[in-house]
Amino acid sequence: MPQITAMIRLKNIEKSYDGHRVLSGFSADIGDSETVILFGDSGAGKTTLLRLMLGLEKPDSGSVDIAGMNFSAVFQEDRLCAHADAVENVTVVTKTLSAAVAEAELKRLLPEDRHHMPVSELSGGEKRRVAIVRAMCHDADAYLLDEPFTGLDEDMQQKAMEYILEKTAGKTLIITAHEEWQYDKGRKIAVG
Amino acid sequence: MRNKLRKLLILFLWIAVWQAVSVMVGNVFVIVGPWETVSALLRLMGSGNFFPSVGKSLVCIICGFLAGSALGAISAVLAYRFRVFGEIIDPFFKTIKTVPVVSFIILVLIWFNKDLTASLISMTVTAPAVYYNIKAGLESTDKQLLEMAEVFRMDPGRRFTYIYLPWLKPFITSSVQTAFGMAWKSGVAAEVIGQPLMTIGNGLYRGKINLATDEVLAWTVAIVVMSVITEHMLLLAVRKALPGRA
Repeated sequence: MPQITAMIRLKNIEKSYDGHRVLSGFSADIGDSETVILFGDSGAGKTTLLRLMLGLEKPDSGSVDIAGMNFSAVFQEDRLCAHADAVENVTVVTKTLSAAVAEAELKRLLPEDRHHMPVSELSGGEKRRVAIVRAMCHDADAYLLDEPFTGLDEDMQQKAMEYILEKTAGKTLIITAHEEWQYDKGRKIAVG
Repeated sequence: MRNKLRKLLILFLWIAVWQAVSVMVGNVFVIVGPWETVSALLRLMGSGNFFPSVGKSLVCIICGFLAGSALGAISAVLAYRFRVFGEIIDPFFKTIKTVPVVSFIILVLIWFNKDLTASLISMTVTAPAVYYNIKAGLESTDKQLLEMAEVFRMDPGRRFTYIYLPWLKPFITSSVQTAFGMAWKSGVAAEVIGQPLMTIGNGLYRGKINLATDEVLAWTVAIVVMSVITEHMLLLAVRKALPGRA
């Protein structure tokens, strides 16, 4: 295995919720520009690992070293501002992004007639695509995607994956999956 | 349309009950019917004192309501942001909520000018209602959206506009609905006790000492109409101005 310069270093992570241990002695180094697939069963701790990296939770013991990185994320839930339209949802998290650029990016995954509808009126799959575009338009060092293709059909999954790989080229990309074979790209790390 | 007609019929039913009661009592010093009340209202409207009185009460009560809303909302934001501030301010609002309005009216009359009574009392009843509503709204703000804002490092202005404000909209409209009616009732009560000249409360009091029950009811109708109209206008403005949930 080639030597990697770790940008994200997870060391002996322990994490429990209400006495139920989710992560036990988990360690991994994730390098600059690396694509990593975190795979494991439901409840194995994949989402917890992403939350630890994003700084949304602290480990019970062990360390998470992210060395001042900027993150972007697609959460397990869409987490969109329901009253705002797709364009606003993309621009609201990135100050420097114009509406015109956001529209052009959205066009890659979402029909134009959906761009100016409140996202609460979009279908589940359409909301997911907005969440993906929002994350990809945000300038970050690492992109953490938690089951990003939930609710998308196979064609759209393919299209979205191509878009994600194009936008994150040269950046760190971490995706969670249930099965090891789900993605043919990246280094696979088993969780749980 | 059917619903509106139903409501109108119910209104007519109650007006008919009012008329029946006045006929049964048959004493104009105790109660007059709706027609006598309307004619007293028209008479008052032509007297020259009516509109300035309504205008003065309206301005005082709305000013008090707005000041109370600002005090309640700012306190709620500070209590949400700084736990210690919440611990300090909470007993203050609990006390204001519990103390009878009439005690405040007397204290305000002792401490301040009687012309300020309606405004200060409206402010006093509005502030705790707004404080508790907005605080509850802030505390229940969607945690997932707040985490999203944290990850994307959204600035405070955008968090406020896109996350907090839409979330708080139903809490703000509920505050207006609860507090505005209370502000009107307590504001007019303060005027009745404090007797500032050319106010609705003063008109009500004069109706009472002259044993003019028709005038008392006419002023009451004026209060109800003004309260309903201003509350509707305020709610409309809030719903139009704020983004988010209905």
